[in-house]
Amino acid sequence: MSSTSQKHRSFIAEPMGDKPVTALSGIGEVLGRKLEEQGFDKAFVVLGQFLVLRKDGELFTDWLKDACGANNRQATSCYQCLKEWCDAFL
Amino acid sequence: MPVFVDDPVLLSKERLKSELVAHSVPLPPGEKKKQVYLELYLKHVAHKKPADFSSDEEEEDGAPEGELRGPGEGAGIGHKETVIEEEDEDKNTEVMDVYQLTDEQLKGELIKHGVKPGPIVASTRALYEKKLQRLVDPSRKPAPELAQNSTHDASQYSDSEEDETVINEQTAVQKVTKTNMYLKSSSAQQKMGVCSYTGFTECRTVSGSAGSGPLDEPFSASQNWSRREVSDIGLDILDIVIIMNSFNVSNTLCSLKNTLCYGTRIPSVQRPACCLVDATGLDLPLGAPQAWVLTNHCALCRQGEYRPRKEDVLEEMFPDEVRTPTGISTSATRRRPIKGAAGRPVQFKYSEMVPHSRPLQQEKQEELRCFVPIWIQVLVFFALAGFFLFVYYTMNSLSEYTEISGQGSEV
Repeated sequence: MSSTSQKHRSFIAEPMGDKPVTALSGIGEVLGRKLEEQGFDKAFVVLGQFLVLRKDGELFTDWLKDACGANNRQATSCYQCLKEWCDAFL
Repeated sequence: MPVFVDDPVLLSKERLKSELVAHSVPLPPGEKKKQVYLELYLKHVAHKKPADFSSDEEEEDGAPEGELRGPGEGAGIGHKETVIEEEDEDKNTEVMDVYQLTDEQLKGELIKHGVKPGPIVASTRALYEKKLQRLVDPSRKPAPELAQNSTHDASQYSDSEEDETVINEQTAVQKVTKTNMYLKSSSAQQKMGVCSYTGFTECRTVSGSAGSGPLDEPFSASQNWSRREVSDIGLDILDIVIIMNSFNVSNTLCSLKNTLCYGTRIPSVQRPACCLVDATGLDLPLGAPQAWVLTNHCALCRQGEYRPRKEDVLEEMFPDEVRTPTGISTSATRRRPIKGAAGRPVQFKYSEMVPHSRPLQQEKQEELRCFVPIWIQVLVFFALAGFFLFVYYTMNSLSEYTEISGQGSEV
């Protein structure tokens, strides 16, 4: 695995609290806006979806691609970010 | 846009005529029976239908081309639509199945397929449906791009196919056709048409304008021009009959020359020319079967009808590639070698750079190859170890000796 982004590291460094969805790595402004339109305004809502999908990477990335039109890299990045956060704090 | 009728017999005579005009097929002068037009239609319009997608190589047909494509294209799309509909129906049966499952059934199905689903709720159901569908029918994936782009029946689209077969019929004919093509390419405004009458076949080379420019030497040198009466055929078009005579193609053709070449020889070829080879009008010298000559001339005519083969760069570069209807092969995205400023390919320009890298690799390989076997390495290792041990012990004993001797000396 190549080095992770700064965003990724800062996200998994602490509890997510009330962070916006754009704090997730792989979710930028555009994707964040799309997700917010669908009600996923906070990172923990996305985490909820991630958990409901049983932390399944394939399903989660599929969902993210469908939901906000993320590409494979972005979806995988977001999945990694949430997964590592869960490993650390759950 | 006219609706394509499958059976041209059903078309009216006027309709046939207009279709022929639309396809830039020269109509026989005067009023003829419907049968004549029908045959023309069958020959030119109907046989072009399969080649509708044959790229833009038939530009010569000019404006009517669009109309020619119309009906065929429409039919093609129609066909596609039906196929898609079928697929959709096919899909729908299964899609409906998946969609109609209750949450529990969906869960059960997923478990059956070895997937342990999480809670199936509004936000996850769609994903699980999709997943189940993928599991049920893994083949429902987008077809590989190659399959989409390549032609399953290349012969249907390739417009040069016929050329080749015709050429194969008689290699001798090639020379003639080459000259024919030469004639064609040299005078841009010339058009060639093939007329098929009930009794005979003829090939006309009608130059669009008289002043199409002098033809080059090879052409004029290779042909004798003869004047021939054509009134018996009822053609008032043009006067000059080119009989393919001077081509050293075959005995039959040569003898044809002897019989047909009566008339005045025309030194200049700047006039409108009409090549008319009339099988019925020929009294064949060597008793050659009329049909043979007919077919050969048909071949000639047909050859003439097509544009000369382009020097297709892509084809040249990728001879193995499958041809596609658009002419763009699957490798079309590959670029031509970038030329240097002087128009030379880069690989030649910087050829001195290429050998540099190769010897390096070879060296490496050689190094690897002549690497000493392990047992020799071990042997050498032990030998060295023994040597060092020996040195060590000798040093020890030497120091002891010196100590002793030193003590001795002290003492």
